[in-house]
Amino acid sequence: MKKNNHEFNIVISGTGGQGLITLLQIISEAAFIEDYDVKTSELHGLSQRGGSVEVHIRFGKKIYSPLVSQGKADLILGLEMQETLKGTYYSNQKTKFLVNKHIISIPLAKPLTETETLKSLKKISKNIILVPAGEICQEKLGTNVVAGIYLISLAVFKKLIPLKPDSILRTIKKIIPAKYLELNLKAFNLAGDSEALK
Amino acid sequence: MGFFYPLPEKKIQKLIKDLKKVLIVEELEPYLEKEIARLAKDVNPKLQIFGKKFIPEIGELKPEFVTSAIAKITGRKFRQPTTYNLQLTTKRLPRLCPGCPYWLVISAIKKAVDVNKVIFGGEIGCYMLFGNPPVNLQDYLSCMGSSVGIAHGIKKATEQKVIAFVGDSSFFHAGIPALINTVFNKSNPLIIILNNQTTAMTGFQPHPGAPAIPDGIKIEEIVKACGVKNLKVIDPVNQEEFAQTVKEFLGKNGVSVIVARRICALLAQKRK
Repeated sequence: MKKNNHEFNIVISGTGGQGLITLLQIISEAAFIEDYDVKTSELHGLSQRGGSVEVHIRFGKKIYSPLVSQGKADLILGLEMQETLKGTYYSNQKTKFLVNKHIISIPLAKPLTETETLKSLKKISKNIILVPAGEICQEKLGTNVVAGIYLISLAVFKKLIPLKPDSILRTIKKIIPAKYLELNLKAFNLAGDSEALK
Repeated sequence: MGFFYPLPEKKIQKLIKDLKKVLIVEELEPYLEKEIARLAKDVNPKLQIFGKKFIPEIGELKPEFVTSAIAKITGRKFRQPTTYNLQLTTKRLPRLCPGCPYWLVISAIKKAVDVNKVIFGGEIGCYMLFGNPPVNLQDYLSCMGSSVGIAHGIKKATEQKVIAFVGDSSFFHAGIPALINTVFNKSNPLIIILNNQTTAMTGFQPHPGAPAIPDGIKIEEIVKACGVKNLKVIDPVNQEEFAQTVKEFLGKNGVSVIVARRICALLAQKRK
């Protein structure tokens, strides 16, 4: 949390179907139970149909508006590398990036490779943490569908988001439907374990 | 302000009475700006009103646009944050889901007509994605219920063939008056009611004709009651029948309606 103005700005960028709105709910609810003022903005409807999606989460002592201004993000969570490039609109020199090492090709377009995309990202920021979240979840849990949960869990364990891992755990339990909860908790724990091993 | 229709005029007048300058931050048309200019004439004629001079009329209103407007009005400098050139040439546009029954409607239409010689009307709903590649079946797009009304206008004014798409929930919401008008004032567009049995785009809200509603209202009965003579209910899986009907109906003198009935693929999954 910045000391002078007590606010924290997150932008999550990805594509429709990656669960951005669920992630937004989890993070904002966690901030809420830690007694922060929270405001969020989301794009839905079109998003389920595979388009670009970006969601904004702002929390702090007092938040007046839901949108993150250009260049004001503290953290950009990228669920897809090309979408993360678009998220750089909100970044500044100090912005941290936590990015899923994953490309979803754009229909009818020449696909950008991971290397090309990473190269462009590195021109913009030096604070990029690239994590093969999908691959890790696939290998350890047998599915990559929880890559987003893994990534936000990693973000709190790495202290990239100034919230307690326990708050995220509580809100996962609250928000995720019962039949998928066990899998999601495993993804949360997997992120915790990988940080503890370091 | 709380709400802006009806406009809280006294509240606004009280606020602007002693001000020198006011910036009106609103998206799209300068609705409040005009109203406030009117109110200012009575209580504070010297008030300087700024709005669309500095705030864009199109697109979303980003916070930095407002900051920049405030800076201009107060004569301060606003340093624009760095914008990076990302060389991302292709937008990631949303598209219809795999397995969406609308793909079947699209393919039947493309078999039936030369798409360059027909005007296609869209609305708000999943079928607004018809405007994106690879579908490209959309020449106009406005609010719910509008595709039928606009089609009527085009048919009245020109000789062009028109196919208007309207979703089932949009039809219930605002399509029926337009259909009645089209019949009564005698024009002949082909209206295709996309009956996926839900309001899929916004999250599967049921509508009056959705199967989940007991004794739901049947679209074809309403269409008949509106006086439409050329009417068929077709499952677009029957490609030949669908394409043939499109060809046949486009040549009719009166209004034609095809109800393309096949359940939304996502809803079908959810039901399982």
